[in-house]
Amino acid sequence: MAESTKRVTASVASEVTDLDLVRLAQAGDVDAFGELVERNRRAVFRAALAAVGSATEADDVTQEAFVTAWQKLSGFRGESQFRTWLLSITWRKAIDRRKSIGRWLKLAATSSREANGDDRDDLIERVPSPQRGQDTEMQSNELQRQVRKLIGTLPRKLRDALLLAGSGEHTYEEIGEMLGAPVGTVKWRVAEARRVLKRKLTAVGYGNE
Amino acid sequence: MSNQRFHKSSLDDAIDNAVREIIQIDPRPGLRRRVLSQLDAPAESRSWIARLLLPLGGLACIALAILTLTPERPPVPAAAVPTATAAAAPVAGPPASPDRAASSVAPPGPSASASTTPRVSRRSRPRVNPTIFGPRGDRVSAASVRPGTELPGSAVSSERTGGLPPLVLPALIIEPLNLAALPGRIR
Repeated sequence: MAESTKRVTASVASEVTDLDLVRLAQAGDVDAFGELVERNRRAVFRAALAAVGSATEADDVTQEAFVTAWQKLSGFRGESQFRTWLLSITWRKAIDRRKSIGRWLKLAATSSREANGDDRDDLIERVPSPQRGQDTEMQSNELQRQVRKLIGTLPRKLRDALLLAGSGEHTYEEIGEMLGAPVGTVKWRVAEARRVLKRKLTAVGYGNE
Repeated sequence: MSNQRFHKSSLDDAIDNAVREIIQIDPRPGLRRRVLSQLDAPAESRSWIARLLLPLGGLACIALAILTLTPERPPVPAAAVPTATAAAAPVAGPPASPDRAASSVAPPGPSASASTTPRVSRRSRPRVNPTIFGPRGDRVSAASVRPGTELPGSAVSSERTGGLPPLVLPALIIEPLNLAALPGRIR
């Protein structure tokens, strides 16, 4: 085992495929699995974050997903990519977490309320004040807060697809595997999410149609 | 309205930026170490579970063995059932109450609890029969009548008490039928 570990670390990650590392990990090489963690940590974390909406929760889900993957590694036959398999585990765990806690942390709303000291939930209906919009940077910041708030109000299917696609870590195929939807459906959901956001932004005074 | 100057392209940029701001976060440093440190945790917890379950399983096995290996009364020959039932009715007097029957049949030991009463009472009918071959309970029946308490005219009962005195039966005399002596109606 020590020899294989040296081989892995010496051969610099890029030369060893995920499948090689999986085979080593299946033989009990913990360090090989550690390399898999290192390679996929960002994709796993962001997938979890897209589902649960909280970095703390996503961190827990990420750890759980990796531990579960280690425990189930003997059942991985290599029929799909390890990363896809891992992301599926992650997504299931994240959805379970989201269901169990029964909440989606509305990121934009929370940050917006914290920034403004505003506890109102109906920020969508609030038209930005013209006095506040004199400064372009201020308007831009306000717009960002509005968008974040509105993302939190999207239907889950649209929001999941939008965030996963915007993570920069997942392909449409991987997103489709996670969501259990065809690639075309995923693309439509992303586009639809953007359309909804723009429509709502326009309704509160941003943009002109 | 001043916000009207946000054109659609600006909205697209704003959406992209907001999405990136929300989702493009990196996990806390040290994830690899934290994960690897947890890989042994399940095995450890399993060992704790095993440590807990082993004695419990052993106790369960012992309890099961006690329940299943508790000696029961020898099986009653099926042929004895009608004999005893028929004999008990005329001779034994008042039959034992169902409660008493159940309690007298319940096997000794920890398994003889109230929870087993329905099962025992259902099986009590064949077991109530004091067999002529097996041990006898304290129930009163034709078969359990002792020689000293033998009822008059029941010569057979002495046989059921264990066969101590020899069976004494009056000689059976069969006389030929004398048709001539019968009343005239048959003629």
